Amino acid sequence: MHAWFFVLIIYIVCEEMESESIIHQNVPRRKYIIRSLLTSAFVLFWKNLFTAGTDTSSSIIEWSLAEMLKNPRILKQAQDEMDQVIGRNRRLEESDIPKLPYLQAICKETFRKHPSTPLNLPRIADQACEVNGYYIPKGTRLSVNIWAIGRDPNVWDNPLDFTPERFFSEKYAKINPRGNDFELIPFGAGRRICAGTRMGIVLVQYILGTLVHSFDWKLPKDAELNMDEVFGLALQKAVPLSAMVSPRLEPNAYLA
Amino acid sequence: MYLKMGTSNMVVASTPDAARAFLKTLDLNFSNRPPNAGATHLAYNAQDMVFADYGPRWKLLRKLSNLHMLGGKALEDWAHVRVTELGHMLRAICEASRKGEPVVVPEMLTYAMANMIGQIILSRRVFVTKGSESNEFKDMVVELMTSAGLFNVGDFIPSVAWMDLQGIERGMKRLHRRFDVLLTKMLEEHIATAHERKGKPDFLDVLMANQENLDGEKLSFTNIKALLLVCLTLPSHFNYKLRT
Repeated sequence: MHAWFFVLIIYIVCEEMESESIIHQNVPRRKYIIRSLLTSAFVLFWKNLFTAGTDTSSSIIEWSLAEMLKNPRILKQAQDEMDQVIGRNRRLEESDIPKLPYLQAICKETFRKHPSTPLNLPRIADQACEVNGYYIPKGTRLSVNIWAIGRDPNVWDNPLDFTPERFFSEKYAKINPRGNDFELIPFGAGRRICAGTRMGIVLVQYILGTLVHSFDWKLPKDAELNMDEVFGLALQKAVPLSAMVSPRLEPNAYLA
Repeated sequence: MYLKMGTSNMVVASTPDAARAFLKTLDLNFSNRPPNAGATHLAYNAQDMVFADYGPRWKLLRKLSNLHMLGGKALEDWAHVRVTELGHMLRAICEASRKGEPVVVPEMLTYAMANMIGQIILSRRVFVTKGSESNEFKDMVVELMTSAGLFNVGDFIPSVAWMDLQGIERGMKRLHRRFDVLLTKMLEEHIATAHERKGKPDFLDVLMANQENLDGEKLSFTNIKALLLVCLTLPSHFNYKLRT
């Protein structure tokens, strides 16, 4: 998720450092530096990344909940699994996740259908090269259409359906979103794979799992579920998801 | 797919096989970001540096962030932060449920995540209901998100998108001044209270301790500050991007 930013900021900072040799603990200078950073790297950064897009686990969680509101059967099945493994007397813990295959499948299915950076971040060819017989000149930009890969009908059956069960079938069971299986690369792959891949997966599984286990989710009365995407460098829901919830655990479970 | 966009050539890999060819077989050749990305920002006193090279410093910082924040061991180390923050979020949701109000999912997630990142990096929560400083910070982040959201983002061709960005510069500058005051205070406070976190350093402490002589690469005070600054503000803009 935001690890992209994290790494990118670091770039900025490095460059900044190169251009000025900074004396540690020199206060006025420090203030100056902070200010100059605010007006240069910071502005640049915000502008770039606001436009260049964000890669976000909260967007994944939001999409996932929206898919489950659209298809309550999936929500129910996830909750049944959790009731069996965890019960209703305590919150979900991260150590429960390996025992919740259906939750994991829901997360994978969301990574597939709603990747948060649909076109990845651009790369560039250092040297001219050849790919499948095509000549690629030096300096060519590369974008990887993660979104299209996740919906490729040659790879995925009924790609527009949200069906977590597909990850239990023999064909897809081994696919993981960590950058080794090129059918599912929500975080990119290779050297420039998102530095926060691991954190992104943990956060999505844990937070989504907790939300599903702890509450029943319904749309507000008379509200329609809007599943429009805003397609930019980041893929967001056009209308923020708003839902009515009711607790489903023992009251004490929410206190800790 | 091969495209010609303006003056630059572009390839788009749209199948798993194409992705494998570029990101695995040719990974090294494509390990840099387009260098002209930041060029238009010279006007903002920024250099052409957003997408820096794949080199020793990039590796060092990636290593540091893995070691202390993003890697497996590090993630375990701050598992308690996730538990606590999620607890806050659950109780806020219960509260909404009791009042019969709908829960706005992205908003709630944004707060929780900003607080998590704030805790790891700075040992403090960014969004709290009480305490004026944190709320001032929150207001400013929201304002920043709002003004940034004004962009006509339009396209996913960065070189085109950037041309639309000039309009909000003035508002940004005003915000920077306010951020400046607050962040300087936050940072100085953090340095002054370092002794309180003995044995339980946060990410900022770790960075400070790693300032020099790590694989010969150095992190300056500035590196650290800017890192912290953006880490704190960035995660919290999630979801506001195109909506505000």
